[in-house]
Amino acid sequence: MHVALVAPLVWPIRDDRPPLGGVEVFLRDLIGGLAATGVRVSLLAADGSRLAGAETPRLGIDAGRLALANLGPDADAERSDLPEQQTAFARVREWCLAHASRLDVVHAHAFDAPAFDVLRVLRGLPVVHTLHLPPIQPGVVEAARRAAEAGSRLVAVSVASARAWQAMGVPIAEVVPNGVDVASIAFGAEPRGYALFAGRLSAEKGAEVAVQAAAQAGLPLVLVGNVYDPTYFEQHLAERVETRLDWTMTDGRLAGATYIGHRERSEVLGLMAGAAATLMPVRWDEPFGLVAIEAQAAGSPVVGFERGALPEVVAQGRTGVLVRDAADLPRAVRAGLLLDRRACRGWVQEHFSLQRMVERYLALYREVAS
Amino acid sequence: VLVVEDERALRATIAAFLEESGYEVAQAEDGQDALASLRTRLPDVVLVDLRLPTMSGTQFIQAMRADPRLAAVPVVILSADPYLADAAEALGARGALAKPFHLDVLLAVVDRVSQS
Repeated sequence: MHVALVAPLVWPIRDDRPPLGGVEVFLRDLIGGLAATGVRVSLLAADGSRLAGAETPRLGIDAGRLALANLGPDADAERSDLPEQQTAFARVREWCLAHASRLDVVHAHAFDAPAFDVLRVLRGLPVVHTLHLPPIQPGVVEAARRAAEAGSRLVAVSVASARAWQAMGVPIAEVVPNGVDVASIAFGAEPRGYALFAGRLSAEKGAEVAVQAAAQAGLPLVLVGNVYDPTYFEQHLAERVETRLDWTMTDGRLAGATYIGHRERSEVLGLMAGAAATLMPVRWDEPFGLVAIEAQAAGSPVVGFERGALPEVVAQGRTGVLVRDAADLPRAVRAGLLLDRRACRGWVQEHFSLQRMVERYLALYREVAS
Repeated sequence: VLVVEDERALRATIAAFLEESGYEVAQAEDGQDALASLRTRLPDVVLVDLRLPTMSGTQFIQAMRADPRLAAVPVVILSADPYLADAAEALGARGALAKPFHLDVLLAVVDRVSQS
């Protein structure tokens, strides 16, 4: 089987630098999992992309000319995609058609209206879109709905996300939860006395809520991730965290909140293994929450808000504590410290393994290709 | 429909979509190429990107207007230009689409112009 995976085109996907977000982590794992089963994978991505397990043809797509999605509080405003976005996906389409005779399926992961729109016109090649984000932008929702009407199969990553898309009139063909390769994630039996925030630093992820909750719970907080929204960082975090981009695990005890920059995934997983709890006080309906399953696989309970898919991804009271009110977070953090770290890992192994996810996608590929 | 667009992949996408919607489509990559196409067959609608190499979209439309045989062919302009509506009016275009556009919106404009 030969699958073309269409990446978000706004940055090159490379395994020699830290991943920019959950979708890139997902793609790395999916490619690894597919390659291990003998599937041939072509990764259609911005120029400069390079990933083990996939061929990455050069498509003439300059990520620097494209715009990142706005996922912040004003995201419901109509998104202004750049003309280059449409051209870039047209180039992806052109590559797919040129290789149609040996391709079985096109599986897209980009959250741009042109990704749905342009890939509708693939002359019979089966197209699957995985919706990694909530239905927050009207232009994307409309394009996704039309793509489904034209025969593209839309996959949601959680039941909560599927319901949100369906409520907007977008038919969801299937729910395939994300998975991680648990065996490759080191388990931390003994926490090292800090709480962790891992993820992009932008309003919807609620890092500043995590800073306050950890302080009230009496735990130092490590924040790791990319500054996705510099304005948010300046306004809500810069004065509340100590930035130590050269911090390492061997630097001794922490106090307060420390931002350590954007790190390699292996380092983030190591931080999760040492975290007493991983905080996810999200301010949006999290469509999945890949950080939650990575953290639990490493042994860290997850504490956050009961929103979006988090109640599906975290076993309430067993592998984490989810609350509705920020005032309850400090107590939830303290309750989280008492949870069994092996149960956290076992939960992910049972429900969110990479093998399970890859099997589900392979079954879907076979179905649409037939 | 004649599609005049220098970006090959986008031109092919537009053409394929219109063909799937029942239109016959000719393609041209610049103004000279488009004028040559118009000499062999008159379309019901010309879709033209304003930013084209060698002969710009604006020059191409002006050349059409100067030719009595082509002057009445309806034109729809495609552009990322923020003053698109002004340009459309100045060029006597029957429609204008800001890039990037939904393909269904493009189809609706082509349907409207070709049927009017």
